[in-house]
Amino acid sequence: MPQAASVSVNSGPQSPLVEVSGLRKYFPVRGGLFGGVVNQVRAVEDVSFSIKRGETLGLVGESGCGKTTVGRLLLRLIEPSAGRVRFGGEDLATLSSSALRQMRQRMQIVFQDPYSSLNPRRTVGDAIGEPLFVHGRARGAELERRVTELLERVGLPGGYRSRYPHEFSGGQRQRVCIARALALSPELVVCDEAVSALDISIQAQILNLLRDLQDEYGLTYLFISHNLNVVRHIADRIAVMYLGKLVEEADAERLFESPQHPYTRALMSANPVPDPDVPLRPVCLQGELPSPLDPPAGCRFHTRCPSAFQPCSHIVPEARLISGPHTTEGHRVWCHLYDDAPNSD
Amino acid sequence: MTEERLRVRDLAVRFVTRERTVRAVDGISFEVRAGEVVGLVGESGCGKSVTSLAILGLQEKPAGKVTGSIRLGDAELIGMSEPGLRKIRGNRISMIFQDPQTSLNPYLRIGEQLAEVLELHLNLRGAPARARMLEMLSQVGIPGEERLRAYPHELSGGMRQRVCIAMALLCDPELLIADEPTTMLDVTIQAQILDLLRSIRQRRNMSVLFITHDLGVVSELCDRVVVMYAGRIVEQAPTTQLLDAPLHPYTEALLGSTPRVDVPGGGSLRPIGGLPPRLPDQALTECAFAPRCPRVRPGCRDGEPALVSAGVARLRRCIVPVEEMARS
Repeated sequence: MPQAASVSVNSGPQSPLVEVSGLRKYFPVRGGLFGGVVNQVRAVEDVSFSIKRGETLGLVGESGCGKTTVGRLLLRLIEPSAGRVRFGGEDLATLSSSALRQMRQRMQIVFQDPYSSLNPRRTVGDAIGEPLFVHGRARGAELERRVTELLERVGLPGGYRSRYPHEFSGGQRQRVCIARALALSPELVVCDEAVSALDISIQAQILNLLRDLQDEYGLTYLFISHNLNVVRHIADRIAVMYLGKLVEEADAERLFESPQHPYTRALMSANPVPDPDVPLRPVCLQGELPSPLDPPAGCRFHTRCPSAFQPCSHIVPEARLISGPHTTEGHRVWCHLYDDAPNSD
Repeated sequence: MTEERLRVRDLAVRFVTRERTVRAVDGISFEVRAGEVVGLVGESGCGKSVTSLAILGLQEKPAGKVTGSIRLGDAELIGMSEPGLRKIRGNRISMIFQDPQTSLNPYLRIGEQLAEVLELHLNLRGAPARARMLEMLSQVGIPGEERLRAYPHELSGGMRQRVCIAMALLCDPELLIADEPTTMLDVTIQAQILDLLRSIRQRRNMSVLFITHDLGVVSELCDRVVVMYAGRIVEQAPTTQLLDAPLHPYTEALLGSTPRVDVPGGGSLRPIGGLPPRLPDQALTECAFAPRCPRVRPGCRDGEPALVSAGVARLRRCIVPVEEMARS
């Protein structure tokens, strides 16, 4: 029972940079005697959201919930099984390959592991300069000047451009990856667990750097992370995913003040807080994530949900709008507990 | 208080390489009492995992040189013969690791791996062994005989970590060393595992040395905390006091750079500037944290401060006056 795609929630005066509607991705599982498709991993199912210019959308969920797949679909690094991604008003799926290449200059990605996302045999200057060179933005002395500038912007001495990745620490490498992502002055940067592999003290440095860069260049971020603490620190709005579907989306402040979906509540109560005055919360989520090969019918969370009731096991919940204080944007929740609330579509 | 189970004195671990001798752990002392959970906290490369491997006598040889004293009850572990250590490892001290995937043998069923432990350490076979395995699995929340026939790949990450915990507890150890056991798990699974460790510790009066970089986890589980930096202890205190009023600028900075969900707006992050230290190859001539310390002052460069008492059950290695730390 797929819902009608909708982005009406964000149709304010400011047009969104990214609009995603009805996005779906199934990965085929091959097997059997002739290697035919025997099953499908339903990684992403009917996901819709939008990101305004200059905004940071945090995409939160546990491993296997499909958040990374959403990030890759957004950049069209993989093709969606259904649904649409519009970037600056243009439908990515309809672009020719040369138009897509032009479009890709406007969107970049920073990955989790700064060790495997830099070529060990090339200097960091080469890594940062390559996008400028490939897209014909700069050559020769101009290229060198731009690379130096980018390095300094992310807090590394410009002279480091002739060094190799192994000479850098993890945090410094992540700075290099950010400099490379910024080289073409993109509008959107997808950060896929960009600080998860870093030590706490370095993580804070990189988070502050990302914030400063956003202020300076008006960047739009899709910030994908499993870490609620980190997302709260950087995101304006947060979308929570569970097993391939969105379960809740709201202003960051609002989501943390009054989480509505039972899964969001469970995630928050499981999150350890370095404060002895915060009492221990009872463990409210038992069991494990069901397989995305065969996700539960109805609400995908009903098998582990402490508040599940009669309709949850067979009716897919639709997006409902919750109103309350601090709701400058729509607070959407996909849960039968709120079936009386107005439909957001 | 109660008896000391583990007593570490002046433990030093050096790695001799062709270029230099790295002091990974440089003269640390602490103890873990009966039924106590002590958190060993620090960032990558601070020496926390090296310390745990040294306690088990698992240091890579001949590169790793271990000196000092590690006493478990009446037994001195440093310099103990390999057969002697083998009687202690798995029996009196058990360990669980970060990655449950690599600590289980992928070719053996869960039941076979548990049975091996019982046969080697307790000489237990057949029906009694089977009963013990089932009891232990149900204690860690994995009921059902069919799990004994499962291979590790058939279990999820959280389940595998539960199996590792069950295996570690089979011989009723006095001390459990847990090296970042929840770091690779999702938060909801992490909450389940922490809850499990809390209840086991209560039931069995087991001591736990819990190694982690996450102060949130420390807050939920540990009684006392030992903070390490550059191979040395910089602060040691009961958890509540450490988190409420850290007395070393490094602990303070770690807390300041931990993003919080319970503070509106996530609080402002105060990152620690600079880079993690390169491990020293000789005695320090200044405080190890001085190059990154926001409270650094001239005296910090005049030799390394000693680890001194700062109130009941508190130690710190810093010359900044306590009153000044408390004022911030």
